[in-house]
Amino acid sequence: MSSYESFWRRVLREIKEIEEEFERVFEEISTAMIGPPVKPMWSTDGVLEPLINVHEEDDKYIITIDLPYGDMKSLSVTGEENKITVSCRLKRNVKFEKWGTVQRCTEFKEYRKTILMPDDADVTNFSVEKLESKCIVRIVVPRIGRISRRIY
Amino acid sequence: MIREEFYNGIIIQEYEEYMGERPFYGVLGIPESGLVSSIATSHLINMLGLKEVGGIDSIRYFPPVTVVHNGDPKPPMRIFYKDHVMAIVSEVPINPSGVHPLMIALIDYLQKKRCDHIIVPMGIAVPNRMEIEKPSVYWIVSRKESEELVKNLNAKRLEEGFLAGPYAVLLKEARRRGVSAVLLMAESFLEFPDPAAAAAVLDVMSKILNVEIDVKPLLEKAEEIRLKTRELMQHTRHMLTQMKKGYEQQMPLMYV
Repeated sequence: MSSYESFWRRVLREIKEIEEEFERVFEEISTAMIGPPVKPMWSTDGVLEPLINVHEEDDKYIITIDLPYGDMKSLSVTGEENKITVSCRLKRNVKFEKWGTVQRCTEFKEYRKTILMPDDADVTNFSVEKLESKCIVRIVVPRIGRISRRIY
Repeated sequence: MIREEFYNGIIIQEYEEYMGERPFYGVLGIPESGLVSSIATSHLINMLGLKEVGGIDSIRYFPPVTVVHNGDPKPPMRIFYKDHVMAIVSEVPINPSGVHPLMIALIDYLQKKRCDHIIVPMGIAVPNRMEIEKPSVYWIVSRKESEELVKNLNAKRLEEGFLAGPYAVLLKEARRRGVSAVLLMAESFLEFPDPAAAAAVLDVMSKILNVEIDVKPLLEKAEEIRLKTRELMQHTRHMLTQMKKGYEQQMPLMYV
């Protein structure tokens, strides 16, 4: 490859990188201004995405999950790599005669959600607390290397 | 439509003439902490059978959406009325850039409609909501005289703290103008829909409005409401983050 060609390849690559950076910044700004992209939290195969909240503390992450209609006995939580995956069947299949803009009859049977955790989350060592009366679940995930303590 | 008025980027439409009996109460329901405001106001509208008499839209501040109900296209905020109660309910969360103009426009409009008291049912997020069975209700008013409405009710005065979001702006502006505004705040989740908090605040609000509001159907349908309002809550929580809702969980500097 001639030095002329290699120069232009480098220029094109840099232009592409600048374009990508522009796109990323534009997305950040538009998310800040008009909110995140709107995506449905349900699918036609009967799966709902629950609302979650991840709270960070010094030595742990606390994930709270809202599971209305959830059958807490069927709750399954698995930790793998840097992910926590939660699934929970509904107490009974929930059928809505007019769901969504298309007003179709839709039936839901399960919640499912995979939560991407930060690198220091020990996802193999979590504990689960169920608040059955409110159908809310709290998952406590320790942070690796944050448990040791020195008292002065 | 019989009338359309413009308030600094906000368009208020009236579909028919209406003027409330005195004292006239204006209830606001905008998506906020735990959607308490929206859930409580929607339940009030259903229970009292309020009639839709207008709508609010904004090219500048609202997302480009049209809400369709029973085949009719509607603006994202709707106005309902009957006897001595009007209610304004929003189907979309308010963008932070639209909070000030919208709240100022609403006060202008409610003053024009000779509304005597603005009543706001809302949630105030508490970190231990999971452990609370029956949420307590707090109040704050814009004028000393408005305390008469709440002082003998099952609610406590909010003594110290921050408020953030649309109703913080409403309270400041109402105070500045000498308009009566009563904020009723039930302990709630911040980021999960909370019909139980809405029921608690409705219990108190019904006494101010002097109407019967049965909250049993709301509590019975609580799980269904939580399930159906997940997306609205998801969008609202993004707006709440931008409005620095976290301020509500800290103490003002001078009281530390």
